[in-house]
Amino acid sequence: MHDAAAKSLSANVTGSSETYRASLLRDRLWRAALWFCGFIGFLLPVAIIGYLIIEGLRFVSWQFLTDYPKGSPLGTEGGIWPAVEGSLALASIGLLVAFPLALGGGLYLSEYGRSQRFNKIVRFLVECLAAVPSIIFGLFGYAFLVVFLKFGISLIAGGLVLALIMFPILLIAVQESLRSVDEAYREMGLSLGVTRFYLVRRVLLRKAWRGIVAGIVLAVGHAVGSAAPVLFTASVYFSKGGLGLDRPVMTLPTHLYNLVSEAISFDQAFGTALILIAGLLIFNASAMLLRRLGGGFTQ
Amino acid sequence: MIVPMAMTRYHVPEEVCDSPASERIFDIRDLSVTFNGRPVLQKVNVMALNRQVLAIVGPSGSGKSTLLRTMNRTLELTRDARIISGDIHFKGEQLYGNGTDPRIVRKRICMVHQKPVAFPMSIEENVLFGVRFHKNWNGRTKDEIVQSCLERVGLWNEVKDRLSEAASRLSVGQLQRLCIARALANDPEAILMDEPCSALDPVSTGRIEELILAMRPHLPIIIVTHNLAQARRISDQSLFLSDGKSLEQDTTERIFTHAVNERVRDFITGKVG
Repeated sequence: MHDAAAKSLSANVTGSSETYRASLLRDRLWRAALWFCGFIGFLLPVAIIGYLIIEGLRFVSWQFLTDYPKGSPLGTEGGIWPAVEGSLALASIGLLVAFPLALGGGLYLSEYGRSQRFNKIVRFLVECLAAVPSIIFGLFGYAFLVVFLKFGISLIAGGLVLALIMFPILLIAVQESLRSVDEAYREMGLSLGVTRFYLVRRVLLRKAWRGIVAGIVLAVGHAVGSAAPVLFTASVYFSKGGLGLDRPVMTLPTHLYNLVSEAISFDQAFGTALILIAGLLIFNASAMLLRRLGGGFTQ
Repeated sequence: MIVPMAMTRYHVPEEVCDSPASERIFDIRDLSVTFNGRPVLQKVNVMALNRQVLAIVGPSGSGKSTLLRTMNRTLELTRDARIISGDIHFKGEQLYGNGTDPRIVRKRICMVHQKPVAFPMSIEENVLFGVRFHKNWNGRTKDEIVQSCLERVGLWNEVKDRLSEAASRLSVGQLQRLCIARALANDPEAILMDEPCSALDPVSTGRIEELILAMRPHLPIIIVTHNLAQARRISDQSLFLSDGKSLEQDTTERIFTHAVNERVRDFITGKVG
């Protein structure tokens, strides 16, 4: 009785119970396909990191982190400290140079630029810049900074190239996160008679803070992980450590590249890769913490 | 200075036109505004008096909010909006005169918006937002200003123990009162309200209305509302706008009982919505 009523109801709603069942089936297939795609997003990073841990963890030790490369050929023994130090220094210089510029540019485009057309052109060019392959930045850095400006292969040249790579990513992040702040904040803030600068400083940047931090994570991860931009501008095969703006450095991705391409030591290569990934994960996690710390006051 | 005007200026009642200049807070004549070239206000005339509440009523899209936003120079924050003719006098001064700083105008004439918004900071800092910029401490301490403003809006007892908490935790009704406190902290000379109760429940609406009546003896208030019953409850004068034109201004009592204009009568009696 109940079944019959349900059947007739479904028949009424969908035309016939056959098509009703077919559409239910389609819905389930669709769900399964989406679940699968979502699962890939989970599986890929977990598998890659898991593989690196399995292959690399046994070579990671305090000595591996703090010693410089040794052995013959060089890199078969010892550690990777000069590369860790070099990558950290390059990323810091890149961020210190790129972030203020990107913040200013993003603020201008989002809050001050009156000409829609100019904004669109700048935004388009910045997007193009973000899409340029990193090896091109490396080539530009070599021709302009290393050779033309006579910086030589050095920390400063590599840092500036990384700044170039970070700049468009940061600018887009700043602009987008400011744009996503509700117009009501501007309307209400300015109607109290304050300047735009005061509003930006006290309200808009706080509201946009989370998006900006996410942009920093993305930019730093992208810049620190690529070997191409520092290959001709900053990195050397071997260094005993110690930093100077006019001196070259070792970096994690180029060290990894050398270890693998010249078949020096795959064990050391996995250890290096694990350190690189772990470093980026720690950076991401602390950035997330930073976003949380803003807590209630950024909402 | 305001030039004495003809007794029978169209649709502004005689006793308002006859009032002494010192009592006239806003005197708006022949104001026309366009948006992207499309007319939004056409030759609007309004006069608002001291110690009174003026309600601006009319159908949606009649230009009520636009009119309000010309009155503290926030309209010019909207791209494409242009005032093409007319005069706005505030206490006898040209609001759009040469050398008038719009920020000073906005400090003197504050605006309460439809949707209350908490700035991303503590309750206390929300109140002090304008004060810190304008530095109008006038010998008062930070705590005195916060307490007196929150007391005036009846929020003090509810929040006095959590002044340093984020303002975003307040309810919408409390938040709207916080927004009014934030505006009052600027020591304004007039308050503009743009449908301040439309996002609120009836109890919160009642509290805002009490607040408006309590502020009336000290401050002129101009309120845009789509709620006719509310206009009748709280206002002394009402202005009826339709299609960007000011059809009639009169005492609220007369507008609601003996409106001269037929369209105003139809709207008020509910023949058109």
